Amino acid sequence: MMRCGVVVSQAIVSFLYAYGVAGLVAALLFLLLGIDRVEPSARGAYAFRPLIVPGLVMLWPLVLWRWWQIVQGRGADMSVRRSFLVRHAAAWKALAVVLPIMLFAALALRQSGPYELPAVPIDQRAMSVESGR
Amino acid sequence: MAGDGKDVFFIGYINAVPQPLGRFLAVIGLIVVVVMAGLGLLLSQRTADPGWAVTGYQHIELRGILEARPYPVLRVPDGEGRKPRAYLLAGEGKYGVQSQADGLYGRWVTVAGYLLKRGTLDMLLVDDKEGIVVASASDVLHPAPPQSLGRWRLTGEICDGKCYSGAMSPGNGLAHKACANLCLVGGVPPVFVSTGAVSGSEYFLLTDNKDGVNARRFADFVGQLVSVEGEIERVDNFYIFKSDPETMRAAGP
Repeated sequence: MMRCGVVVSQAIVSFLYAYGVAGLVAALLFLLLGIDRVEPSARGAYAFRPLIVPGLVMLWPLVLWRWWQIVQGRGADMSVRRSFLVRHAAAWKALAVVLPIMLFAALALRQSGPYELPAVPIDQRAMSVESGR
Repeated sequence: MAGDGKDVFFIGYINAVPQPLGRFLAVIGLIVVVVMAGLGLLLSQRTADPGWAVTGYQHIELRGILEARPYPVLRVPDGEGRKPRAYLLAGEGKYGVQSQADGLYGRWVTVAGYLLKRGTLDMLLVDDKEGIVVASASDVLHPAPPQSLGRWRLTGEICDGKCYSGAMSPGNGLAHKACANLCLVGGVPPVFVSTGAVSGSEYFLLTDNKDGVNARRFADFVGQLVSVEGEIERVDNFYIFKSDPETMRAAGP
């Protein structure tokens, strides 16, 4: 049973590792070659590019798909973009509700304190140890 | 923000940050760095000693008698001005050394590894390459029997002995719960860190009053403040808390 758990854990870690490495390669290619085509206003600007690496690594399949769409000439289709923006706005609204709930739930459920207590002797022998301190 | 009559406005894509905004950000950045560094320094002064090992592992070789209490413990004799000491043993990674110790209990052995230390807690991480080796017996040492200190109710936290004694810093708290549970399931001895000392010690090897080594019993309570009753025994310099899992509950209301 434990062996099976270890194998599953190793498989998950290997998958995440491969996904991360692929994401880094995709992010590098995108930042060097693709971003100028996907977002024309980013041309000539470099300082912000490292900042978006984590997002690119997480979302690299979507990034590559969007890049491919634009290369194919379908990226300028505003209806595609608008649907993204609509979903983006919906995600933000959902997060605006969910994040405060998570925060307050965590605060409500956390073990607040302090409840540090001294060691309490229960039997006769413990009491003699206590009195001999 | 106003500059020489023109509004300055920063957007992420532009290359040159307007000068007034640049100066403003430099000042704010400097203040943030200084304040955060100062806060870090102040808070670190109030943090408990995370143990020795965080500053570098010390490789040593010890000779003594291997005992199961019920986790593997190496009892090293007194001599050359040393008092007898008991060392908890764990392996490299998130594993105990039960499989290596099996069949060697009660025998003289030499153990090479890395020493972790925190308070009265001594732990030896057995070197995978050198392991536990049978050594020649000594007829000088007769380990003292465990001394019962009676039944106590302790409040504190269940940690894994390896991380808490210095393999990780700090190695306790809720954020460390998953790591501690992995260590415990792997056979690393659990340690109860009490908020109140018994006979000068706040650290106890945690066992239960039945099969002794079933760390899964404690899994839900690891990393949080709990109170539990049990019997305490002293073995040389360290203490064993034979807890009663039925009495274990979260501390506080």
